[in-house]
Parts: sequence; C-alpha cells; structure tokens
Amino acid sequence: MNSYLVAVQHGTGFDRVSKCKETYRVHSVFDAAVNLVAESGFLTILPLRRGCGKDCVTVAVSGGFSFFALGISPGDEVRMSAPSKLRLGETTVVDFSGSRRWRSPLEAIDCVPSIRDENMTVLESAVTLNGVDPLSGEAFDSDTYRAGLGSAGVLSDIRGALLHNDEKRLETALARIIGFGPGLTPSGDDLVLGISLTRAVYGRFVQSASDIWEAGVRKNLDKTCDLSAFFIREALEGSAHEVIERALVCLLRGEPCETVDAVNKLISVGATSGCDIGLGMYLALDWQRRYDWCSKGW
Amino acid sequence: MFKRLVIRPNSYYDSIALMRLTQTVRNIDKMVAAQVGMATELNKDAVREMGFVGEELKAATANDLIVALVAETEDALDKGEQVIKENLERPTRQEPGTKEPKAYATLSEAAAMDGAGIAAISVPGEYAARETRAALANGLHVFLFSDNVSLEDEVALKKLGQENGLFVMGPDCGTAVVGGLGLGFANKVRPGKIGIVAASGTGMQQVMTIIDMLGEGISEAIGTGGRDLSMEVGGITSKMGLAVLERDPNTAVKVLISKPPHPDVRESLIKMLDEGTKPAVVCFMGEDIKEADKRRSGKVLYAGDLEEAAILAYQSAGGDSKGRLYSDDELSEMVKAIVARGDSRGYFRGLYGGGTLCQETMTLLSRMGIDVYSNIAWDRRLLLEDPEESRGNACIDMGDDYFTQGKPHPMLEPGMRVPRYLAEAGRKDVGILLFDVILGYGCHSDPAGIMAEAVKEARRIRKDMGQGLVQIAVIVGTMRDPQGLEEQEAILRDAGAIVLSSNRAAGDLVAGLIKAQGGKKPCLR
Amino acid sequence: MLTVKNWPPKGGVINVGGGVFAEAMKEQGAEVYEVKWQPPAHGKVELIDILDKLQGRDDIDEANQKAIERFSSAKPVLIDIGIAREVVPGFDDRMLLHAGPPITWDKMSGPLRGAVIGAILYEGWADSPEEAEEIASKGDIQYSPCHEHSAVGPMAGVVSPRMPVFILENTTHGNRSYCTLNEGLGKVLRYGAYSDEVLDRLRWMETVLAPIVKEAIELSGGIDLTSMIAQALHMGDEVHNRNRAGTSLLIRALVPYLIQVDYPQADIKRCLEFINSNDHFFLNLSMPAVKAMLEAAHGVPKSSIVTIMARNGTEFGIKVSGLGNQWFTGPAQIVKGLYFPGRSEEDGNPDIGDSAITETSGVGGFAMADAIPIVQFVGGTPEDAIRFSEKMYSITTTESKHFNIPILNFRGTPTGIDIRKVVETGILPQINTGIAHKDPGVGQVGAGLVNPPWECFEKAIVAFGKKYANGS
Repeated sequence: MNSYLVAVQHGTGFDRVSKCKETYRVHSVFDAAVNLVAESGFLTILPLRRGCGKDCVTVAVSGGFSFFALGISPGDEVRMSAPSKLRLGETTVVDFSGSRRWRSPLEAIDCVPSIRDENMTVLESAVTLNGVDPLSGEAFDSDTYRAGLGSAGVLSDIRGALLHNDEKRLETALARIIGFGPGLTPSGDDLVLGISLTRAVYGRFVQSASDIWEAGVRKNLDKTCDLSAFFIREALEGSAHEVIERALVCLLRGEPCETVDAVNKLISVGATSGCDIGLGMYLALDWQRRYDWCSKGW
Repeated sequence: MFKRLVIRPNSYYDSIALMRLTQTVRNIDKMVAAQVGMATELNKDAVREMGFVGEELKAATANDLIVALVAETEDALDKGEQVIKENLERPTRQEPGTKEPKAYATLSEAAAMDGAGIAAISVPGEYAARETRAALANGLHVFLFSDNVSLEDEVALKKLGQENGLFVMGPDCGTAVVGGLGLGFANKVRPGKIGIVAASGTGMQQVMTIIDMLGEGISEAIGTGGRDLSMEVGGITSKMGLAVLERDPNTAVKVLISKPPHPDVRESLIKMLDEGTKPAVVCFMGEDIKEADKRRSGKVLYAGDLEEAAILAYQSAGGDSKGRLYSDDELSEMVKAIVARGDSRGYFRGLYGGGTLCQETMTLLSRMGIDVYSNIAWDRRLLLEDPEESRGNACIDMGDDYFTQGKPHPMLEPGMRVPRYLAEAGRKDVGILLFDVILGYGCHSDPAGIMAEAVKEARRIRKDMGQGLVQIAVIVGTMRDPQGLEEQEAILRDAGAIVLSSNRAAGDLVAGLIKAQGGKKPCLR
Repeated sequence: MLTVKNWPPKGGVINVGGGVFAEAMKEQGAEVYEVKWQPPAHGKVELIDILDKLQGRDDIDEANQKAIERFSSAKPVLIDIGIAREVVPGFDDRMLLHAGPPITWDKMSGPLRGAVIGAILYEGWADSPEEAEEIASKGDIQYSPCHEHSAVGPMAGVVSPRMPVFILENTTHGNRSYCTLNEGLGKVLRYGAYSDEVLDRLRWMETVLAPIVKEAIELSGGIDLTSMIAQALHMGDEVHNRNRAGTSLLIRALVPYLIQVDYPQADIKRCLEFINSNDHFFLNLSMPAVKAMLEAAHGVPKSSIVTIMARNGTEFGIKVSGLGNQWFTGPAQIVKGLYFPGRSEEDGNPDIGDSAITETSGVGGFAMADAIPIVQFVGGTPEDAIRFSEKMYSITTTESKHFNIPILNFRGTPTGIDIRKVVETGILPQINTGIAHKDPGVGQVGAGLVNPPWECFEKAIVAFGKKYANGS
C-alpha cells in the first residue's frame, strides 16, 4: 500500500533533490529517520518532533510511527514524481507542497557571542551526569572508547596543538579520534562535530589565523564512514541538525532556563552522540573562553 | 578463550539500537567482550587489540559494520551471533508472505462470480460513470465514492438505477451503512432503530456517532451524494432511501440530512415524509427554519444542526429526553477558564477535513453574529480570495478540491493539514485553533496521533512567541471504531488540546471565546 | 415506482478502486471481491469510446462463440510429410517463407538474415554466403510470412522450396497446416546459422529423416495431435518452451511403425536418435496443430478473437478473426528472463518466431500452470506459474475443451484472446519463449517471458471499431 508523507519543514539542502540536480537513493532506514544519499552528500527525513536542519525535512506523522512501516529499503530510487512530490522507492511519496523553509536558529547570532558562565555550568553538569568529566575529558564509565579518548590524553593534545598552532600535532591527535567508537556516527566523530560547529560559528565573527582545525579535520575524514564524514563537513561549514544548533544558540545567548531545555534535548540524541557533541561544544567554548581571557583580558 | 568476528558490508544501524545490542551481547553468560561499530581504522585497531587478525578485518571499510566477540565458550559466541543476527536482520520491509487475495481485472469479471450484491466504486471521476454503468448492468447496487462525475452522468445513472430498482449512492458519497456494513468512511455504530438518508458523508458520521453515544443505533444509513436534492437530479436516491426506510421493519425513525434542497424537491420530500407512517427528523443545513414549518402538523421535526438532529432522532426513537451533549453551563465554564488564562486572545481559525462540519461551524457562528471567512463561503463578502491566506475569524475546508488536487484528502491523510496548522499557530493575531478528527473504517489509522504532534509543535511555537493558544479538537467517532474513540481523545488531551465530540458544541465554545474578547468583528478592509 | 431490489444487498461487495476501502470492509468481516482496477485502454479516451460501442454487443459475442466453436471442434491430425514447394499453398520457386508479419531484407534482424542466407545456400541459389547475401538483398527473392501459407515456423521460421514439411489436416473442417521438421538445438538454421554443418544436417533431414518418418506416418494412418497435446500438458509441457513430454509421446506413437519401414537399419536408428536427442522436436507439431485449429476460427465476421500472434524479430503482428487478412503490428520486444551463462539482454534478439501461435490457442505461456518446472527460467515460483495462467482468463473468451490444468482443478486453459478484453484491462498476453542471439548463427541464449507490444491491440481495436462499431 502506498504511503503519503506530508512535509512540514525542509532545509535548503533539499533543493539539491527537488531541483533534480542529482540522483538520490535511500541510504538507510531507521525507526525515526530515513537517510538519502547522493554524490554530494546526505539528506534526512525526520518526524516533526525530531526537529529540522539544513539537510533535513520534517514530516507530519504520529508519535508512534516507524519509518520501517513504509516498506522502503536501502538502494531504493528517489525521484521527483511531480513538482512538489518526492517519491521514495515504489511505495512512498513525500509531499512538499505545504512545506515551509527551515531557518537556522544560528541566524539569530548576529554579533560576537559572549560565553555565559551559567550556561557553561548547565552544559558541564549535563555532560558530567552522562558520564564524562569535561575538564579532563576522562570518562567515568569503563566503555573502551571513552577510556580511549580520555586516558590517552588525546584531548589535551588537541588543546595544546591548537594553542601552539601546531598543525602536525593536531593532525596526529585528530587521527586518533576520528572514526573511533561505536555507533553509526562514531563517538570520536561526534566530539569533533561539536568542536567544529562551535568553532565555525565563532569563526564568523572572530577572525582567527589560518584555521588549522578545519584543515586537520578534513584531512582525517576518510577515516570514518560517509554519513559521519558528511555531518562533520557540514559542521565545519557552520550547520548541523536543529537540536544541535539550538543548543549552541542557547549556550551563546540564551537564558539558563532555555539552555537546560535545549541541552537536555541535545543529550538525548542517539545513544551517546548528543553527549559527545555536547562535550565537543563544551571543550570548544571552554578553550575559546580561556583564550579570550588570556589574549584579550575579557 | 574463543573469538568471533562478523562483518556486515554497507550496513547502517541506529546507534541506539547498536548500543542496546552491544549491551545485550555483553550480558550473555561467559561473554568476555563485545565491540560493535563502523569498521573505521581506529575501530579496527580496537578490535585488533581484542586479538583479532586477518584479511577480512583488513578489507572492511568505514561503511561496513563490524562486530567482534570474545567469550569463554564457543556456545556463548553462538548465542551472541544469534542475538546479533536476530536484531540486525529485522526486516525493513514487510514480508511478501501472505498470499495475495484473488484480484479481478474488471468489475464484470468479479460480478460473474455471482457473489456480490453491491459495488463500491472509488476510481477517478472520469472513469466512474463507466464502472457504475457496468455495475448496474450486472444488477448491482452502487456505492459511488468517486467525485468529478458530471451532473448529466449522475442523472442518467440514477435514472438507470431507479428503473432497475438499484441504488446509485453518490457520486461523491462518503459514507453509508448497508445491512450493517460500513462503506467508505464509516463509523462502527451499534445497530438500532434510526435510519438515515444523507447527502453529506461527514454530516452522516456526526449524526451517527452522536446517536451511538446517546445509546441508540442505526438501522440503515444511505448516502446520496451532494447533488441529489438539486432540481436536476430531483432527489432520486433520497426518495428511494426514504422509501426503503419506510418499509424497513427495523427502522422506527427516519433522518434526512442535506444542504437546503431545491424548493420543488423539498416540497415533494416533505410530502413523502408526512405521508409516511414513521416519525422523521430533517436537517437542511444552513437553512433558516421557519417558525411556520416548525409548527406544521405532521411527522417531520426540523433540526438546526447535526447534534440536534441526532438528539431529536434519539428522542423520537423513545430515548430519554436530553437537552444537549454539553450543557450551556459546561461550555460557559470552559470559556471562563480559558479567558482567565488569557490564552484565547486573537482570531479563530478552524481547519476542517469534513466540509459539512466546516459549513456547520460557519452557520453557527454567523447565527451568533460572528462573521467567518472561508474558502467555501456562500457569502461573497466572506469568501477568501486566496484559500492559502486566512483573514479574520476563518474556517477552512481543507477537503475542498483546491487542496486535494492530486493529493490525498485530509480524512485519509490528516497530516495534509499540519503545515497550514503550524503556519496559523505561528501568527501573532491568532488565538484559537480548531480542527476535526474523523474516525471510522477507511479513515487514517491514527489521525489523533498526527494532529497531537502538530498540537505539541504549535505549543512550542507559541512558547517561543511568548503567547498562549487555545487548541480545540472535534472528534467524530465511536468507542468501537478501529482507532478507538477514548484512545484518540486521550492522545489529543495529553498533547494539550480541548477535545469535544460535537461540532455544534465546539462552535458554541468558539463563539463564547470570541464574544468574551468583546465580540469584536474582524475588521473588513 | 420506488421499488428497490435485493435490499439490503445480500452477498459480498465488489470493490473497484481504493484498496483502503477494501481493507476496511474486510476488517468488518465482509466478503470483498477486489477489482485490480486500471484505467481502461491505458486511459485513452478515443479507445474507451470505441470499447463502449463494442462491449455488451450480442452480435460480437455470438460471432466469438462461433469462432470458438470452430476452434474447439477442429481436429488436427498429422497425416503426411511433403516437399514445401509441392504442398504448401501459394509457394513459388524463388520464394522463402519466414516467421511473423511481412518484412523486407533491410528490416530483418540477425537471426532471420542468417536463416535466409542459409536457405539460399541450401537451395543452391548461391555458392557463398556473400553471394547469398547479395541475392537476398537485391529483391530477387520473394519473402512471404509462413502464416499467409497456412504454415508456421519457430524462431526465424524460414521455409525454402525444397524443405520437407509436416502436413496436418483439420479433419473437421478440412483445412491443412504445415511446418518444417525441428533441427535440434545449437547451430541451426532457425537461429540463423548457415555453416556447412547446418546445411549438411538439412540435407540429411531432406533425404533420410523425412522419407523415413513420412512412411511411418503413412503406416500409422495419421496421428491425432489434439489428444497428444492434451496428454503432454498433463506431463509438464506447455508445448511451447517445454516439449519433452510431447516428443516422448510422439516417439511412442512412431516407433511401432518406424521399425516397419523399408529403409536401412542404420538410417532408422539415426532418425530415432535424432528425434530422441531433441526435446523440442514436438514443437514443430504442436505449432501447426494449433495453427490448424486457429485457422478454422479465422474469418468469422464480427469476431474479435485473435487468431495469429507472430514475430519476425523486428515486428510483432497479430490478426483478428473478424478483420480479414490485415496485420496489426508493433515493435518486437526484448525478452525478459534467464540468459545462459555469459549472455545478457545485450545479446538477445527482439522477440522472434511463429511459436506464439501456441499462446494464441491457449497453451504455451497461457498454460504455464501445466509446466511449473519452466518458471525457473524466469526466476519465478510455482505460484507465479499459476498466477500467469490465471491472469490470462481475464482476456480470454472461454476455457479450452481439450486442454486443461490439473492444478487449477482441471480448468480448461484460457482460450480465445478477445482484443476488447485486452484493451479494456490493459493485460497483455503472456508469451513464454526462447531467446535468439541477435547475431546470425549463435543460437539460443536464454528463455523467458515476453508480451506483445500494446500497439498491436490498439491498432486492432481501432480497425475493429471502424468496421463494427455501428453494428453493421
């Protein structure tokens, strides 16, 4: 039986498919997400409650709906069957005719962001509660991957490399975390994503010297799976899923009560992803804060 | 110590699922270690550290899934692999398993099996007349859901049916209950003494469900299609329906629901009802009931709205006299509570799937002196120039042709309304949102579930705007409907909507809220 | 005035259109007859108009009944073997018959060209393939469809004057049909091969095989093919793509007489070996047998029944009983199915051969449910085989009196393709066929399923409408 999904919001990334610039296929199907893939990257279909993003579309489905029920499979063809209808495989149509353009919450940041200590405290406690000591990056639980991140001192290596603008050391350190850990997006990648997005947003206002971070990350992207690499690339360019962006916006300019909400939503993303991204944001903001103190006396 | 490595090329699994799975595998008795992740170089290193080597591991790429198990016994490994297999090989598409039901290539082929008495036709309008003719030629009654059938064809088909003693219910017939079977969008109502003839599907559903709620039931419900009482068609199907109800031993009360008929047709229908032996309730929606008519001696009672039609029918069938489904006191308490919270400041916007319910709300509000803009307003002054753009207090029929060209009807896909609903929720000058949720066979399996997500999202949007919002759901259904009335109500209430089972009551509530704002009429530019 | 029959309606509900409603009614416990509705005539308004004028017409239905009656009462019997030039009606000295609708040299596909060259060499009209090709292309040779001479030929279907042919007679109506003797598999003329090996075999068939089998047939007093086909169907053949049972039955019928013929033992032995080694030997009898039956049904005024479906490797053509000798053609399709190892659709020639006469008569692909083993050719399941057959009842007039399908409770095979039903439902006849390599002489590269192009039926219904829409 055919399924009809009504799109509510979509990011600019969907122009790539709606303008037929590329051939997309179904990449993977989950309970609450469908990923599409083409040469230039990924697009994700999410239920309304999961929030949107540049490369996302949200659809109106009920709370208990699972995308498995659509009967689409990885490899199925994705094509526009009418000006505002996207067909997935043989059975599913996504109707864009009523869909609104998604706007990034990051657009709200229009001047040099200030890092509020209260918000940092909120993030710190959220990440700590979830088993990571953000100051050392050392994990409290015994998961191999976390132990790997912490005990090997890779985070202090990264910080040191950034402080000294040491390109080589940074690259080596990044090589030790990108592609590392369990899950579809490895934990190490999530951490890198959090740092990358934060730095990208900062970079819009604060002119930093040649960005060795971006170069270092890009050099290591072939070490992870395509989907994760795509998310990191997007983060380097300053965009991520709404939940991640919203958390960052709140950290940079929100009231602590809003921040609590937004950070809690972030932490609940995936199994460990949200927490790892949060940790990345914390580290990036903390490093930035210290840098500001030292260099500018703020 | 035993080890096993499983590599699944190009596999993508939800991280939560993978983590949960890893945990389950680690908990297996005698399992020492388990690692599940994408086969990135680093993860492969970690797996190597567990003691794995080999070409297979070397060849795996970052897009492959890797599972490494270490256990004290071979059995534990088997168990682990079994658990992983079961979890990861959860089918992403339904098994083709069940045998396809026998399908016929044409209506005549199916009719040749000699097993059916009625044909339900829902093909595109341009082909509907042809299929209907084939059904009549095969001696079948017709339930014609299709719309876009020409008036000329409708007249010809209904005459052909009449000559052969066969019903043509429709075109554009949404609902019918014949011999206890619901056709089209039909609620599961208890069998009872009330028979209905209706030109409107959702109108029929509203009356049936309220009758059911009151404790009475339905004998037969015959749909006629919206144009049956026009001069051209002359009420052929309605008259056949009323004749059937008159003769039907199970029917004690006849109910007729329609838009105001052509005067000649109206007269002949009323005459027919008056000459019948059974009491009748008539609801000509939107018609001003003349006092003279009300007083007219005869068997006909006139109802001003669908809820009233249901209640009058219930009473005529011997039910306990009950005034209204929701008392005036109940409704004014609700108004007071909402006004006290200050949530309702702003215009009212109703987004309907059921056109008749939309029409009813407009009529109710206009009777109370409130102008309502609409894409289906008869009053040109109140007709929205652009159906996509609401103004003032407005009621939109989202099931209207404008919105359903090449798209599913909101009764089939309640999600069709969600983008518009959230757009309305995002407007500062809007304070009251109303929508209908229609249950029954043939309708969406979880309409409340979809609208509940929209209600929650609307609340989030309003929270960001720092404004309140009243969200009202009218739910048309019975406890025995496949979706379950109580379950659907609960989903909407939990999401934060006010849930009512009568459209009339919702209209009263909205009117109360608008009046409480000072009865301001929307400004006419 | 307001009487209503059968109310409330007894029995189930026929659902035409939305599957949602069918499901909803089933959920309520109703008996639902689901019509898998498609816009009639591919949604073409002008065709629907024609259909509306042709459907429910007693005169057409009666004409079809008459055609079916002639078909069913026909009794094809193998009576003899003769030399094509001498026995096939309308044959000329410099004429070659071929499969499918009429075609000229420049339009011929590889296998047909190869077979033409082979036939020219065999007849001795040329000494080399190059010379043969020149003759073939110069307009020196007259090409004519087998079907226009009461003959049929598998694949390229080339019949040259000297070739021996089976002679079948429909003993009910007296018409005869003709077909060459099957050459076997591999490098053979019908796949366009013309090497010495091929020509030598043809000569041996002419000089040894044909006379010996001819004498055996004469001694037998004629072989009833209707009953032989009926038996073969019960033994797993559908007599188009599988003829193993039919060939065995034929051998059983011939052997008592073969041992009596007055020829050297060695030759008789070789003949038997030749027939026995070729599972498809019987195809060249099943085809002319049903051809004889269908020809009896051809030419009934107002009958909308298809009497010929045939392909020449370039075009697919059909003829309709009530439309005289007009061919209705469309492009021959690529066969979908199992390609032999190392072969792919790239290698396949478009659909070719007169063998679709079997489907026209209600066997072949229509009797797939009789020949379940061959669904493996198309990667199907036994259920698919049954479904293929069942689907064909939607486009046929009746069920065969002679041929039936045990697994469908001995239901007669779907018989009498009605162009009105094909156009109404959009369901095309299912043909079960071998696939020739597109280059001459390579041979069979696979087997599979193919449909006629829709155009054939569209053109036929338009012509039929022109002739009969107004009841004249």
